[in-house]
Amino acid sequence: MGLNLDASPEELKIFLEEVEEHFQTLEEDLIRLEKEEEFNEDLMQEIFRASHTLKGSSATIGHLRMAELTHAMENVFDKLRKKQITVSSNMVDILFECLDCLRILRDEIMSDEESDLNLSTILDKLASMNIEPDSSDYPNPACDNVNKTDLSIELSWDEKDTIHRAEDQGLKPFLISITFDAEPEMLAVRTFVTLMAVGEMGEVVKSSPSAEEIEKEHVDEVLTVLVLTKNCKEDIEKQIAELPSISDFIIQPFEDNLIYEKEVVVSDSDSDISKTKTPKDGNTVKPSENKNAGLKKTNRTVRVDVELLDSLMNLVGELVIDRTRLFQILGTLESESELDEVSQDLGRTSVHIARVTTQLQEHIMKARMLPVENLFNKFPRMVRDLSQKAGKELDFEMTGQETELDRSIIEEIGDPLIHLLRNAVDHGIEMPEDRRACGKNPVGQLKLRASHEENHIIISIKDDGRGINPEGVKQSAVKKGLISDEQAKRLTDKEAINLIFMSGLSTVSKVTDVSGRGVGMDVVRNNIEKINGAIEIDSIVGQGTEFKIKLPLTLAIIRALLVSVKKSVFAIPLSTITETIRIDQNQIDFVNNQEVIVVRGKVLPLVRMGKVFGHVSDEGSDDKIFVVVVNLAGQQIGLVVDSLVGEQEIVIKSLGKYIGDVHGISGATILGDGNVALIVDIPTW
Amino acid sequence: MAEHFISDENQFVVFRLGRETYALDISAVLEIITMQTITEVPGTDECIEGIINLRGRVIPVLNLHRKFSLSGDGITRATRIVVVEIDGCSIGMLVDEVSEVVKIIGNAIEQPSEILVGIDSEYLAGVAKVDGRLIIILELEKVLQRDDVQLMENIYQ
Repeated sequence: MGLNLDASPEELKIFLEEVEEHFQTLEEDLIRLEKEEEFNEDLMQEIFRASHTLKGSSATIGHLRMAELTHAMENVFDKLRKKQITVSSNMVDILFECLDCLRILRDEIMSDEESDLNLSTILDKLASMNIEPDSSDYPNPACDNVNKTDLSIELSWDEKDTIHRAEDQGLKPFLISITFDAEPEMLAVRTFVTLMAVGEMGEVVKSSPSAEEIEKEHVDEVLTVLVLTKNCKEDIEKQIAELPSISDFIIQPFEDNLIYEKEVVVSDSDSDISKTKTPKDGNTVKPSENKNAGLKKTNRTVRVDVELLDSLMNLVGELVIDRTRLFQILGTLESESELDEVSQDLGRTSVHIARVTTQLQEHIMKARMLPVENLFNKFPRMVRDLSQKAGKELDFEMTGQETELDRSIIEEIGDPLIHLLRNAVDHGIEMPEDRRACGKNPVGQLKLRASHEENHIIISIKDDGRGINPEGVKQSAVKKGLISDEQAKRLTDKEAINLIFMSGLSTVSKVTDVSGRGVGMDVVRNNIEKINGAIEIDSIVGQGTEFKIKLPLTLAIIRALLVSVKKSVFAIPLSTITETIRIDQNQIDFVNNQEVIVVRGKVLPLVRMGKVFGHVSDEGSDDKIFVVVVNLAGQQIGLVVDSLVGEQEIVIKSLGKYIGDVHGISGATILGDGNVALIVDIPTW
Repeated sequence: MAEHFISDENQFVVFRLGRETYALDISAVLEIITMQTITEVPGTDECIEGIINLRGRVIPVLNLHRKFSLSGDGITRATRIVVVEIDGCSIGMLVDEVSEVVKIIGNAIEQPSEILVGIDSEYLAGVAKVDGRLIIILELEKVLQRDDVQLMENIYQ
């Protein structure tokens, strides 16, 4: 069944975006609300505003069920705000449930089909919190437009513009709030007369209720007017005081907003797009600085289809290849003869093209970046629910949400992070009584941190739980036949802990509904390595565990070391390389018929790349060989190659569906000379 | 198999493999390019010659000699890569020489007989006689199908 909404597809799109933002605000704020013991006025206002706006906009598009639910929620928030009821954990649970319902209702819009969600249960629950869902003032958003505790008015962009221009003409904006006598008769008429009287003083930019609303008798005891006038505050005061049947009034210059307005205008004219803030940022401006409700920081952004960005990225990829190629051609010219004027000109132009290409590449990469915030935002709620279910107490802290990552990486990294967080809550953090017994704070600490480190992003998940016991992992691995007793004895603690990345190993015998199903850490690691990332564990028994995930900034372009093996050129992602060394053939030893070398006291197994890729094995006649030391699942191995070609940025291309997955190869790239090189996929070896 | 050829006239790209003349429906052919440097991909089927750079795209190249177990696959100046498209995938096919584009009327195409042709008849859509020559018309989908079932899944997923 269709929804019959009263809005165009364009409006719906805007609505959906807006709604998601408000959901997010509510979710974050609800968690804060539960945590903060003292009454926080600003927070309450923010929550109230978000639910209020939700109600208003859902009513506008004609989504009645959504409006109904948000209205009931708003009532609860209103009571909370007025301190008529207090926050309880149960209440937050119910409110979260409301949010889930709202999301279902929101999804109805996308599918244009009414879901079978029954609102009556949740509405009853809301009402049970000592609330009468008083529907008399609904649907009548006008009454609620006036926020009685602070003077505010919602302005459209045009109206803000009017104020801005009026200011240049020497007019001053004032916000006037007039409260009428309590007697209810003829309220609409009195409101209208008052509005007219104020209109005589200057230009009324906006009033709440508006003239139309007054005509329809949608009025309240309070009238708020924003007026532009030449008069000073005292004059206005005098004139309003003379008006009949007014019990109280407040006059306040509209200065704050104007300063705010100017800021926006300045940043608007600034050509650097990166400086304009996302709407999200606008919302998280500290509530105290944002007293005037409803004024959002506007920004100059354009929504672009991801596919367009992807194809732009591909085009830039080709430019990057051609840039390299141009320089090779130039090099050839130079080596053949002295450069004549034309060639020199070509050289200069090439340098310029190279510079522009680099900038273009950077900017397009930036355009694909999203703050990890979008991903992280889901987590506080998830961690809260998990810890409640498990009966554990914990403090979840996130930092570095503003760190930006390529959107495709953000998509890929979500599941692994959820898994690691679940593990931390389920297996890492102990029960409160156990923690007390160990002399720890019964409230566990779980920290999620994102940060920049050179050309990488590091995401760390750290808990102060029981840590991973290397012996436990070893035993479990031996029991499951993954390694032999012999092998287990030889492992260092770090190697033992790394065993948890083997498939089919789960150290906790108890299976909960969220983790411990055996599909686990191996999938996590594979997912991370698939996007050229790496994961490391630091764990101290009794003190906690830290997972560190190292991610590239982008998927499409990586830095790689080009090596040649026989006549082919292979690219090895720099992220997997530890070092390159040159050794004598006679430095190679044999252990169990396996070639090894000793580097700084450590034994590295040697792999001849030629052999891996099926070339005829010949040991090479050179006395010296090149070894590229790479990280393979936490272990280092040495790859023997014929020569090192150089380090270069490469654009990753897939081998295509026809060839499909090839063992040991993750894709191909086009080199500066136009030839194709294969990208070695170390993790799959 | 050949029913859709019956009434109308179709254009075919004619090429040589060894001593035989083959043809492909022109609608499947994207372009014909000269020999490129082909990068071998280790661990793939032997009839995959490797991959090439086609204006910034990486596409696989199939060696039809090896595919049809024909003798002699030396590369000469006449060697061409016929780039075809199947389900959005561009694939190159190595042929000894591309000679012409011909029009063949549907009813000039006969069902293949194994005596006539050396290669497995499963790859064939039919055989046509044009100006006294025998032209073997390939069924592209069958040619690109490998024994490997996984592969077809790769293409059609």
